[in-house]
Amino acid sequence: MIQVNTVTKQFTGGRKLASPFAPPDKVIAVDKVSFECHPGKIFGLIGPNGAGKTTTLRMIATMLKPSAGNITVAGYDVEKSPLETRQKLGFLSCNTGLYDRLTAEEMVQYYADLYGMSKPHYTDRKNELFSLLDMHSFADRRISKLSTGMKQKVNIARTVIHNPDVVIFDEPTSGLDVLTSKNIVELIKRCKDEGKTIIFSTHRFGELKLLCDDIAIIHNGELFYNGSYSEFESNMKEDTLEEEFIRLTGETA
Amino acid sequence: MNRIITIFNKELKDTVRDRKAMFFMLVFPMIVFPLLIGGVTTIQMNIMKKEQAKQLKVAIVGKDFPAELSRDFLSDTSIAIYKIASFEEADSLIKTDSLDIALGAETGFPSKIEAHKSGMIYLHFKTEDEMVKIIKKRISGKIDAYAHDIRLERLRTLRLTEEFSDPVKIVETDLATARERLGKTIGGMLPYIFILFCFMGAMYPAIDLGAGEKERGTLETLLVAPASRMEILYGKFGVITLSGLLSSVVSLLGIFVSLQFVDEIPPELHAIVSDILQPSTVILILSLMIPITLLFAALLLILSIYAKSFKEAQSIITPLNIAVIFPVLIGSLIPGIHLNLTTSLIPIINVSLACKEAIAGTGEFLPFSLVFISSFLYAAMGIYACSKWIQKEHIIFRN
Repeated sequence: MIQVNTVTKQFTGGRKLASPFAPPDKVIAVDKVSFECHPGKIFGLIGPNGAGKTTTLRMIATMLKPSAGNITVAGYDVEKSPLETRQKLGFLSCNTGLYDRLTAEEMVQYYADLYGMSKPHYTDRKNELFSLLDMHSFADRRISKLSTGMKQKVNIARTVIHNPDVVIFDEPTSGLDVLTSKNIVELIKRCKDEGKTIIFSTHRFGELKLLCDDIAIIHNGELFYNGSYSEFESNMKEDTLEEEFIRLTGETA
Repeated sequence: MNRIITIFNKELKDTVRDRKAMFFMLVFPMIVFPLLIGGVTTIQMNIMKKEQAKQLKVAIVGKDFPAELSRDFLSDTSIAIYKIASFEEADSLIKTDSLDIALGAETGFPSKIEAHKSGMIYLHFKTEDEMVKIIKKRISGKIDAYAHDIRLERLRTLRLTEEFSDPVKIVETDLATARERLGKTIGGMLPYIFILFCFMGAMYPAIDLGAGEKERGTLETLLVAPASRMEILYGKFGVITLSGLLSSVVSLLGIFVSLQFVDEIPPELHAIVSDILQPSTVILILSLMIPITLLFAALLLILSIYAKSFKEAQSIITPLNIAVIFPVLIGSLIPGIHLNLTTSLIPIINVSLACKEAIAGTGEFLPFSLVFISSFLYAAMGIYACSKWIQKEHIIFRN
């Protein structure tokens, strides 16, 4: 379970060109955001580019520290127990890269070692994932020699090798072709079936209907909606999700 | 600790598989000394042989040139003598490299010598390189011999011996061993090369393990893994330091290879360099490389983590080369700067000077201890700064 309680994140921006000696600007990327994600459900965080989705997910994943508020993941406070939190997390984004000079198996094993998995546990889990993702044929090939689809499978295996309770997907299908996106969508569904807590961000409205149980709409760092998708859809005043989003954020912005 | 080892092993594997890093870390330092020593000595020997075989073109200008000296020149088969009327003509031939040197005596030279006075002999030449100096020395040697004969004749006339005109004879005894003398000359060059290789060897892995990680998009996933930023830092730091040290070791190996396979090295030089490269000296030099490599690794990692991309890291780190080369040059190659209580505290210069002393075999305990203490202190400061740096969100997520 993920609990985000009135979380704010403030960044120090750049200095103004007109006054280089003036103190740098403060930018509020996320402003008093609260929501909960539950096990066995998919939580969708939707908003345009620069809305604060990635910052929110990075705070949940312990990469960034909240300026105010608190976050708990699987019962751990992310600030007080970052290592324990990470042990329970899997993280995948569209920008996630791989080490080109390692083989697919070495890549997955590196993360298994970092998660402190025992050799038999790792072997069982690796075999299970490699069979599921049909990765055995390229397991010993260097990542630089793999196709985009193969690389995405390696990335998926890396993300869930330690069987995390919580999986975070930051715009996971952005920039991917239909076939490669399909692997991700299947992974998200499988994680749900396994009872994991899933949060994923997207600016593609179509993915909400396909995957989400609960959603939150974020824009300019503020939350405009937080609740179940079915409730959101039934209360829509516009014909499409896109138009409803514009109406919601436009009314209060 | 396990995670540090995991990260270290992975980064080492990644670096070993990186051909560019391997070239700069191992291949380049290994071949540069054999190429440098072999190449320079071969070229030098060839030039010397060529110059020795070369027939000098010497012009004798004017009519009053002493006949004895002319005969001496004419009897030397390695010298071709040309008679030229004026220095103007000779000068134009020297400028076009048609002549090596022109000699002429002042008007009335023979009568001045007859009258037991001094006569002037003019030498015209063009100093372009060291070879002209060698040619000039050969010619001056003949003139000196001629002048010596005249002096002896004059002394004989006065019934005096040579001791009359040379009342004091200097007898020199140089107490410096051949190793000490060479240590201060090539001893300056070696630390320059070791330190430079140490920096270069660490540079490429540092860029790859810092900025490269950001550019590949792998840093984000590493930060989500249950390894603290300090564990990540130490794992990477270990590989960068090892790379720098390996480069230094390999450059030392390169010297051994040169000694074994380059035939042109003069035997005396070979013996002295072999004497310098005793295990105790090698161990001392390598131990001096440890703190300086740690400092380099920290500085390089700080800059690499700051950069958004590989390209930006390269453009930031390239000026650091000068910041490293400059103090190393001061310590290694500028004469008159010695290792003392003050210089032993100046970073980089201290290691450079200490290496020089180690090679010459003239190191003293107190300055050496200070070099080690201060260098490890600077390295610790570098690592501390790096550990603070990696915690900063605006640095890690600068892009």
